Amino acid sequence: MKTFLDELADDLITRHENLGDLCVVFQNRRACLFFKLALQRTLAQSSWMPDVYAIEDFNQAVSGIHEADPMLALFELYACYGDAGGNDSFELFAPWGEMLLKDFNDIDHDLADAPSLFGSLDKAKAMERWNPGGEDVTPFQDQFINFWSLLAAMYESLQRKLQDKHQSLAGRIAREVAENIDEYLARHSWKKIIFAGFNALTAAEEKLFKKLVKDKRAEIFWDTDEYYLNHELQEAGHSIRRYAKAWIPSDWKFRSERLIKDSKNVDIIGAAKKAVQAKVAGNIIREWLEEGKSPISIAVVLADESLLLPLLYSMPESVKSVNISMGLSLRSTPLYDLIMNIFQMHASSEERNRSGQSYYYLDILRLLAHPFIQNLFKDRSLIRACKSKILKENIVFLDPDNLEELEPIRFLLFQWKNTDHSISTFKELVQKLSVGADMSVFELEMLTEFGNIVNRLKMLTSAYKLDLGVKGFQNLLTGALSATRLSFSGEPLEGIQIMGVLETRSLDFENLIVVSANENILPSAKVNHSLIPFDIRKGFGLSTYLDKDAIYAYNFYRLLQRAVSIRLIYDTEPNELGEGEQSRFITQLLHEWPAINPNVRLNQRLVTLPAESASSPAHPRYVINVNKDEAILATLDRYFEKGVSPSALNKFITCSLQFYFRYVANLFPPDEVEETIEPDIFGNAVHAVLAELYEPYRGQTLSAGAIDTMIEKVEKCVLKAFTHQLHEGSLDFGKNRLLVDVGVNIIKDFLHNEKERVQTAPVSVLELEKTFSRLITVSANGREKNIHLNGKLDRVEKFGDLIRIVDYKTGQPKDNLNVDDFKKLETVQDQSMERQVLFYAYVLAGEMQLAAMESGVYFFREIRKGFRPLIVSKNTRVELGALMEFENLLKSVLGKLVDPETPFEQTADRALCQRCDYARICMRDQVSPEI
Amino acid sequence: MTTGAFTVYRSSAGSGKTYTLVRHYLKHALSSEQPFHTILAITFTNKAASEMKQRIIDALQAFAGHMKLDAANESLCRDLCGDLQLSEAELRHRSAHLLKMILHRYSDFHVRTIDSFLHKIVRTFARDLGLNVNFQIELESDPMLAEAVDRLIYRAGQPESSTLTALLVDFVLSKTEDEKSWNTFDRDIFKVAQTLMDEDSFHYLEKLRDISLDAFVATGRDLRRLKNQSEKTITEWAHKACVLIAESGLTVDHFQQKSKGIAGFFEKLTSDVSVKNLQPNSYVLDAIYEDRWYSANSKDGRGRVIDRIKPELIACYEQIRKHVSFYILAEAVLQNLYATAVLHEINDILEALKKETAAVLISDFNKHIASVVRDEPAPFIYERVGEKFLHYMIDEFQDTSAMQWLNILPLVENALANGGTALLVGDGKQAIYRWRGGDLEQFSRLPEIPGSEMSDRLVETEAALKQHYQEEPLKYNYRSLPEIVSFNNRFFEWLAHFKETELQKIYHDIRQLPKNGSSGGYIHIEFLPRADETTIEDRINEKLLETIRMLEKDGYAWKDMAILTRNNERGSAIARFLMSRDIHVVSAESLLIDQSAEVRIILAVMRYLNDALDDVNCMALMNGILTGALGRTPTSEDRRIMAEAIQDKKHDRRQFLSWLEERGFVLDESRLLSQPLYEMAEDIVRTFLPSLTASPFVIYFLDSVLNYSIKYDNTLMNFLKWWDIQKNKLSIVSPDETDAVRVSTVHKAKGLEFPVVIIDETGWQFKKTRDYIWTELRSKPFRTLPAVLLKSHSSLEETECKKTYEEESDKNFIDQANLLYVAMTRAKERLYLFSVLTKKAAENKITELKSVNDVIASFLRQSMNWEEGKMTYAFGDTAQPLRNKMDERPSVALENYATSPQRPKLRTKRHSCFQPYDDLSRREWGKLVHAALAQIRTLDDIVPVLSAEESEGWLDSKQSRDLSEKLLRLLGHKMVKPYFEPGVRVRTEAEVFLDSKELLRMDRVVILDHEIVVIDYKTGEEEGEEHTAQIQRYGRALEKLGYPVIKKILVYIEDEKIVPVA
Ligand code: SF4
Repeated sequence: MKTFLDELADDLITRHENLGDLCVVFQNRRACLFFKLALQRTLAQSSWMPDVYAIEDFNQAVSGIHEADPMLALFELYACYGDAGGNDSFELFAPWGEMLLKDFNDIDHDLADAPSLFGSLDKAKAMERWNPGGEDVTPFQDQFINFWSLLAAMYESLQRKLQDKHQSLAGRIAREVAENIDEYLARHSWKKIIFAGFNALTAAEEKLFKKLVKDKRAEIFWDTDEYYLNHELQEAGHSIRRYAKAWIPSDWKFRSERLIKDSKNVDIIGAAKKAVQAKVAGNIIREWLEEGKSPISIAVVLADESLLLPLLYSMPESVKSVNISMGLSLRSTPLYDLIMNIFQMHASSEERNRSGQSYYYLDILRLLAHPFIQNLFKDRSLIRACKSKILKENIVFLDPDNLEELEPIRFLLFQWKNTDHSISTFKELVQKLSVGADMSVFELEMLTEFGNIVNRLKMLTSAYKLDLGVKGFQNLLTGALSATRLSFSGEPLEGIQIMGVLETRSLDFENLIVVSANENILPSAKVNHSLIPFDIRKGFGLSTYLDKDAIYAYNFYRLLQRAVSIRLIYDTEPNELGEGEQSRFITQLLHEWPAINPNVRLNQRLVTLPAESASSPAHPRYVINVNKDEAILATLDRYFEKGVSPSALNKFITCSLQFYFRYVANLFPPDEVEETIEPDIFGNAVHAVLAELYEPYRGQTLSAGAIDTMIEKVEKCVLKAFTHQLHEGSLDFGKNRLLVDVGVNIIKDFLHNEKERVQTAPVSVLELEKTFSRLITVSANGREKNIHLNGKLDRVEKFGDLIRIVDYKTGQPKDNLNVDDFKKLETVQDQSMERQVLFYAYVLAGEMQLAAMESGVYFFREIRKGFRPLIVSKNTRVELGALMEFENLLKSVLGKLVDPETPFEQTADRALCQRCDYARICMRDQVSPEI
Repeated sequence: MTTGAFTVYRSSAGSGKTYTLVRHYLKHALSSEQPFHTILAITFTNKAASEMKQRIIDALQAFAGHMKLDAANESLCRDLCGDLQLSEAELRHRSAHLLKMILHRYSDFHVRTIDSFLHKIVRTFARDLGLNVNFQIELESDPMLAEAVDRLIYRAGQPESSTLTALLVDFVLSKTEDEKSWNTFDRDIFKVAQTLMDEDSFHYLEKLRDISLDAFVATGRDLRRLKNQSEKTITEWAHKACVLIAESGLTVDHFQQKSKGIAGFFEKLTSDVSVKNLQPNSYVLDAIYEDRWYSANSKDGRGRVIDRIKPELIACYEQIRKHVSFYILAEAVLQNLYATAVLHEINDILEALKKETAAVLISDFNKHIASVVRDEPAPFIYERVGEKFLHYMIDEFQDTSAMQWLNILPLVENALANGGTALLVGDGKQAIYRWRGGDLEQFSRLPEIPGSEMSDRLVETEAALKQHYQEEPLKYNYRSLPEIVSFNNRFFEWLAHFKETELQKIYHDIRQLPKNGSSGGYIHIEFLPRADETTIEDRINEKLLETIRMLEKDGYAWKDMAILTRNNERGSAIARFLMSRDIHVVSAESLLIDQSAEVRIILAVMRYLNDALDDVNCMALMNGILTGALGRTPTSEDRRIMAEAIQDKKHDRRQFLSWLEERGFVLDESRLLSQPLYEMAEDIVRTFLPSLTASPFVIYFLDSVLNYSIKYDNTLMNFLKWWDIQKNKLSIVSPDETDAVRVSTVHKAKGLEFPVVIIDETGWQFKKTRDYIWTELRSKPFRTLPAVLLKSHSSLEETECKKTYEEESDKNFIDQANLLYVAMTRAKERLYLFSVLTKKAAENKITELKSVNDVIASFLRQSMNWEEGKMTYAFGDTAQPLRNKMDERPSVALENYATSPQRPKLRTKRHSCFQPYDDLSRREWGKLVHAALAQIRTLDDIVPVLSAEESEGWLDSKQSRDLSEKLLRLLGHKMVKPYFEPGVRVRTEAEVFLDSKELLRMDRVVILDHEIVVIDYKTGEEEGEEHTAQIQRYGRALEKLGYPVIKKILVYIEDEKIVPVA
């Protein structure tokens, strides 16, 4: 297949003596490169090469005017805006400022008269246009008119100021060139200028082309097909039809009829979502290569460039090289994340901790996890040391001065008061990273670009004396990073081509895959990215979405001209706003093409993925049973020595597998920094406080006075108890601060209750937080074991004549602690509290030889309701009979634990799994898809 | 179709509403006057918009071709010829043209979702509204809201927020008094704060704006004090009653219903005053109002004693009653008072957050438009937006919120005034999105505008709507077979008359006609015997299985069947059950990406990379690998080895890692961690699931990773956090043709149809759809608050907001009826309902409809052939399935795919290797200088070129100044100066192609009349030989091109030396 560029090269070589006399201009740089290659392929003898430019470079080269750097232009524009009296902050200004720069460019590209354009909307005209009833302008309209009135002045002064710096916006340069081409050309020696592959021209281009063609100093090579030229409504031919009517001779060279006559094989493939599209493209490539197509004849056009990585990872192994002609935005590199993490760290330090001297631990952990940061540590074990220190000491806000392990990144950790601070931090970062040994070329390239941006920003901010604030600086930096692209290396003449839509201009490929052929991508969405209202744009000849659509259409159809095998892949899933069906171009092709070209074969297909229920965790294969082998039995024996606690017993009853994980496999949920007072911390603290307060009075009969003394100490004790568990300083603010208050309040309430109680009957506290133990013999299936039962009793007291076991609970209260049926107690999850207090009674009875006692709970959420004793068959006392029954129960339950034939099994009650630490192992950690 | 300018279609299930919309669209588009771009059709869902576009284009294509039309298009053609008074030939002719127009002006083909339309307006006015013009759309409000609540709470204890601190302390303490959990107050605030997203709250929030935090604190303390007082009084009176009873020698047991009766009422209140205990049950009321105090057969004379103290007890009761209303209200108000108080603060923080992240919530679109844009004249809006519409069509109008309608209304009014039209299609019976802001009343009252009395402008608009108003029915049901249609007709007619509410109005058009010429259909209702909860579920599972098996026998495929459930939990259980019986199922849960064992492996590796110390995760990974990747059941031995591998913590998890390695999985931490997320995920797939063929779960997991990294970042820790929040929402896209039984909630099934629908009604209670109601209170201590937010609870019936509460429960009833309507109208051929007979229904004692089971039973009892003890009712016949020919597009399965390691290399640009700027290496410097020199044609270019380099950040100002001075000196030297004069013919970076297929690039070539000069710049030291050789090569090349005299000059920039070469 001969490409457009091959044909062009042929033509120029045959018709021109000295190629060095020529200047060849394309729309884009990629075409320049490919054209030179085409020339070299065709040339048989030594020769000058022509000068080859993309149109923008041509404009700069011919005029010698430099295109202004976008960032500089934006700063300059902001200055102009300030001069004109505008007062948006830079942060707010920047996004629309960029839009305005584009509008200014458009005005010049299309040779519009800026003063009259910006003069077209004063109050009087606005009223006429907008308020048909003749009402006055609304305040909202007025706001817009006022804004609009600034623009004319901004346009003028910006152009002037840039000129002073020997620079201009691209549009302005184009306009200059168009208006003064003779003068500029005199400085160059080209005999002929060749414009090739153009389609829709800006007004400036049209003027330039027209003039040079008239003067016989230029030739234009259009690349078109009759398919879209012939029909009035085909937008792809829109511009050229117009030029043909007005000023170009109708017999230009490359007027093909390929789309009408050639046979083509087109598959239109629907696939759901991005990754699937990429995989489908990969499969097509594999097929093609297997069919023997040469890699170089294949191109993948990514209408949505974010599919680049997925596509690369979908290539069949046989693909050895690819040539990617689109950049990778710095936005999607690890460096970007590092920068954002650093910003975030400073921001949350500001937000959460006004002093800005200490840093939120999650931010630090995130930073430490970054591979670049890890490179800064010569001794990696320091990182682990930091991490475990933070976790162990529950440090929520971390003062870097107190953690010397952080030394290698100490330079990142100081308070940023202004932009300069952040800039110098980043400069240092770049410096430190770039000398590191572990950097790949790829990473060094990122750093170079980043360093460059930082430098540029530093120079610009100081030149314009702007303090952007940290946030403003961040925005600017993110914008610049997103706009900066790294290019991939590759051999243009080898391998499969991967490119964006715009890069394909003037290029041709025999085998073509277009990915993301969806509306809003191909063509891009109809958004009015302009501050100039549509009607005004139209009135002044600026381009509109219609022009943009037409350009896309041309690019698309032109690509089809020489291609033979075409695969158009689109996403079948609409976007979040319900937009983005298959591209209109697909719809057009389907409805029009076959009728015109009988040789084209259009096939439509949908891609499906095999559904496989077998891989679901709900599948029977994922059921976990653990049989007791010798090793496990041995572990259990050791465990029986150590003793069974009530909570272990409860675990075993509700889910024996959970018991296995916790007590046999010894799996613990991970250490985490407790940022806030979690329920268990709160509970522990309350227990600790009460133990401490009562300790001095153990063994005595409590007096009201004693309790008064305790009440006085509550505050101090509570603080102490919490600080014991949470890192200092985290109790002053937020939720913790509130919960400390709550702790103080409920303990005081409790003590006030106590005070009333000690006046009704004598109370003496016998034991506090003491563990009692009792041995029980259990046998099953021929195995007999002595098992220790351990119960830690919060408090044992004598109330009146009766011994009472008290358990404090800060969690959810239960209305009654009731045992009616011991059978139920053996299985029902709901009765865990009852089992617990019975357990206590059982162990205490063993120790103290008691015939009757009370055992029950204080619910701190219901202090008013006082002590709640366990009721066994309507009796608030636990007596021997009940304990006997309980012993039987224990024997039966623990029998299952002793029994080597009974495996550990998952619970049937999935609700339990939702709160279980091991749910991830069981893969039962969620069952509620949202509606 | 004769329509007024403002037409409302009240449609019903299956009544061909898309057909109507398409017909209407085409009517306007094909009439000669108006081009199609002035028509705007607004749909609600994603799929609806593309479906409608497709139907329009397909119809035009059919008309434009010369082929025979199929039945649907033929009727459309006939209708349109009638509508437009055109001959078929003319219609076909115009269609051909219109099709071309639409295809090639596709941007003007305005069939859109409401969100996309509103987005366009907000985007246009972004700057005017003070928004970042590049704002990102955020779909989920919850994460941001949670962050806002967090930030608010963090202010507690800060010196500048003392009032806030006081308020929050009060709040938490009030929770302890309430005996509620106290460490969940942040969640309580969050829940209440969600009302910020709710447009109904807007109005009330405005009222609260001026109430200070101090005022809230004061009111709160007041209320608590008063509440405690009244609690005390209540206790006292209750105590008095109990004392009286005891002193009369009576106990609770002597009264009617014992502890459930009046005496029990008093007794409970002595120890526990609570809302629950204050609400008198029917026995208590019986005693007070019906004089039923003791059972009639009480013979022991206690009756007389009771009679004696009765008056005093009634007095006690009356005294208590006086406090009930206050107590309940105080309790209800206090519950949300503090959270309500901080709503404005939270909102402010939220706004700040949005600014920080340049995000706009999708739910904000309406607020932004309502805030200003709505009041602007239509021409202004049109001009700014750049589009202008004359014909509006809105689909699913019943789900439109009040704000959405009010936002669009000015444009609609403008259209009507200018000879345009508006068409609304809706079905009040399918309004099931009240909780998302759908305003049913707005639809049912059309052409009235609810709340129009509040503004003059709306009164005018309303008049305009009325003037043009016309209502059209859609009579036929094209979906279901006649038996189903007529059963639903009867059932919902009956249901509508069960309650005197808005329901009747909505259901007045319930009666549908079956499609002409159709027959058949089958309804099967079966009551499962009552049992306790656990077994009824098992029984229904078995029943479902049995039904599916029977349907298979009858010729139905799995994909023809849908099981509809009230909630997802039940759906999950059913799906699990059926799967365990080897029936393929597609359910919300089965589609969740997170439910895949393979994905769990990938995630476990990621979690390991994020936190290697997490034992549970390591175990999960090992378990997953054994069961999933290696496909075997772990033995006890495996378990022991795994447990040991984890216990070994000292050596960087070495034992764990070698466990993996022994099984062929190398977890290379540093390689994985150095990659961006997407690459990391691909790498893990390649390493850990090497034999994997195309798993949809894995592929969509990769897709999620990709989207995450595009939208947010590449930070693993953040991704994992995001995943945990999102995992219940992210599903695979399942191809529709999978042969599997669909298990779905009713909500999800809206808009779908199935040959067979099975509804599990067993657990279906008429639950609340809304948790909170806003109201204004008039009575004394509450008056200080202009609005309060109350939890919707039946106790409110005892208070002054009885009416508000009843309105709410009426609406709730409609929600439930509608949900049922949607469920029962999904079936085309057969409908199965499985139900239980509640005790009340069995005894025919239903006074209130509390569950769907009750509804069905009552209906059968009252309107159909109910037989005591009969458990199964069937109507119609079980015929063979109807098979419509499907015109599906052929599909290809993606059986497998590659995940290959293609890490592309990056090309180096100017710098091959980074060096700090103040220490540019010579190589760097050389490249930079060369780049600058290439742009310098004459001496005059030096300054501008270097200043441009400077402003791009390549040089600092000193470097730039130094270099330009140096170049001016050097190039101004008389040996080279003539070659830098204006007017000489110069080529920089000139390329010469040699026949040896080489390309030479020369820094500067000057072509003079009699000679040619080639200049080579050097930034390094003079090196003699090599440099000379190179420039001599250039010379030879130029000779070949035929130049006789060639001058060769080397220019050393650093040393400022010029060396001519022979
Ligand atoms: S997830 Fe469920 S089954 Fe697994 S251990 Fe936990 S509670 Fe038991």
